Amino acid sequence: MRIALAIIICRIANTLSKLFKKEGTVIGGYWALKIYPNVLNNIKYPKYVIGVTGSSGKGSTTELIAHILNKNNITYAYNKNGSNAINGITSLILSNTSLNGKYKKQALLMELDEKHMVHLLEHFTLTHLVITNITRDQPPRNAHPEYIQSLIKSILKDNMHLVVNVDDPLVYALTLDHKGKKTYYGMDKIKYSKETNLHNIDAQYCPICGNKLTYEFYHYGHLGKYKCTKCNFERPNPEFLAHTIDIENKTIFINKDEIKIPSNFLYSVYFTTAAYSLANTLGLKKEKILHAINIDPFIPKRLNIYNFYGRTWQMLSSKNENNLSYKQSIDYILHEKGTKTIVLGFDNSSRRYKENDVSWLWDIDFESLKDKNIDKIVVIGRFKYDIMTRLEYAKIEKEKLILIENLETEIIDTLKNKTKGNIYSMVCFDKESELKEILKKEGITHD
Amino acid sequence: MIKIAHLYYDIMNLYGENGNIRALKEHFERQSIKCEIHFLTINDKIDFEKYDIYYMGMGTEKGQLLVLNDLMKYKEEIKKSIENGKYYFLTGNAYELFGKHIIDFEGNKIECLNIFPYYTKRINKKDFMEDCDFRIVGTTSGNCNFLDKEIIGFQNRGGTIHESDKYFIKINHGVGYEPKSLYEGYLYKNFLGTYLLGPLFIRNPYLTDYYIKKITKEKDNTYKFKVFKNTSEIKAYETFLENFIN
Repeated sequence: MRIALAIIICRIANTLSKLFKKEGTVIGGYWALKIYPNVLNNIKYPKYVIGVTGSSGKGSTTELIAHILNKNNITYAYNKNGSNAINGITSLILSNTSLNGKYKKQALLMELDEKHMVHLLEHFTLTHLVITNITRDQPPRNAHPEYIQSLIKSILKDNMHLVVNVDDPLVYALTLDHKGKKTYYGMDKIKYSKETNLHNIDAQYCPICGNKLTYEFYHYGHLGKYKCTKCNFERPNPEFLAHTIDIENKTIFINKDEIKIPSNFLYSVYFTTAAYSLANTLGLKKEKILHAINIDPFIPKRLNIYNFYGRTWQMLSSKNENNLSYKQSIDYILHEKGTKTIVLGFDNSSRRYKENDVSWLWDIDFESLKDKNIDKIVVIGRFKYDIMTRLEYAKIEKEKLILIENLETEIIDTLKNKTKGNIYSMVCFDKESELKEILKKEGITHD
Repeated sequence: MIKIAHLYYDIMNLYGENGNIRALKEHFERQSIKCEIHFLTINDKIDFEKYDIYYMGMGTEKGQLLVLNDLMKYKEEIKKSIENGKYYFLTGNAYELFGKHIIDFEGNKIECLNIFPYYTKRINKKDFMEDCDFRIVGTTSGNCNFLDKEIIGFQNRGGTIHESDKYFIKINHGVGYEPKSLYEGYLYKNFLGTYLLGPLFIRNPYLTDYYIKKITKEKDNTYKFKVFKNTSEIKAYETFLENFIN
């Protein structure tokens, strides 16, 4: 009875919210939990309850898993909009549950916020948990990687099948005491693997005995092939290994299977391997998994591409407060061919909270922007001087740096007359909207 | 020539704190003073007489204890070197190690270097309201008594400091040693410890120049200090004050 009421309230709240042009994916969960705090304890869950968590890549991994489930005719629901905290997940579950409390589909798939899931999983458990990585990410809310590692550890139960990225020592360490099933995935050495030139990697010391780890190679950050100098902690051989990686041509191998990756970002190797590994552990037919990934590929979020007076302008989001994601966007730009101009800037460090820390700028390897194919770097936004400072310290030639004081009056003219090549902007959400508005006035809309 | 030791660079490195070493180097080099940085860590032999400046940044709670374990053997040398006027710059929880002890989450007392009289308590969930995260996070600013420029920074920590007899800044914005305190940091001779984490010397160019000048003058009293105005760092500092503090 109470459960039916919670489900009805949830649906009404979401519908009303949508009527008022709000997202309508969180508010229902909020009200359902208000009237029935333990509603999630009393749902009859399906055979597969899959969670995907980690500091980055969980959204893409979840999306690809959803696509594979879809192509395998497994019915599922997932938080497509990325509402990954407790209210959003509650709303997702209740929207797919009959009034008698039975979840209606074969699978429940959730991208889970690594912090909020601690509270969520007090109410129910997962059959499968994918852990992508634990890296520096939004420190004002996530403190630091070891803190997140301890939170994830607190929710692990032996009846969960863990599917984890063992290139990350913090993730691998979580599985050592796990008595339940575990499946490991990882990435072999690639041509971009290297030692980072900043001393900012986490997990340089063994999470088990505290002695220094040595790395045979890093892909980025602390993800790579590591070994403790004292104890026997070392990156194990993954059951699913991505190898023979050709980022430019977007092909990789996982074990013996040739796989297409959806974009030429390095992280797409990881999320594809994660989704592939999970699909295999679910026991799906290999031909069908490969068909879903290779023949009938899922289209990643539409790229934001504009035609700016004959030049391509691609808008990437600025991955503030996550130095490794930010660096991957830089690497993506660097690997693109031809002369290019980059636009950087943000008004706030975060969209989720008001704290504005700028420390993370110093954990990003901006030095790599000293590249002959970069014509200019244009700096905008409220923290433009902080970015300028960072770029100056990176010893980027002064004549390559352009500072925009007034976005509205200066940006078009500057880009048109003072810069060359394709444009890549990497700015925060608010600034991106402003840029789009300015482009619209200029008569430039989506390509 | 200025020699800097970046202590435990590979473990006390949480929040972009390499920026501090870069700032010191850059500011010395702007004055045409050569600057050498040595990166030292656990199991290296650290000489506490050889360097002009010792810097350590912030670490995780676990990392901090690994460092403490290594640091304890240098206790007397460090004490002597602070007394002799060597420069110590410590950001984030690094300066907790120079106090008496740390009381951990379970209430255990972990002995520290015991050079200064303060001690640290890890913030326990029950000390705070149920819903509150048990870390102190946010923008902080305050005034020190040797510079007429406000100090700005950010905090993100899981400890509070108690029974401190000296301070670095009087708080204008944010919190001090603990939520009720209006004072933050520790200054003694040339020792500066503060919970302000991250690139403190990048974000506070006037503070950096104050120290650069002081250190340079001590080496060469006749040195003519060059003044750089309107640098990006100064503009970033002023813009931040304008947008977030004033």
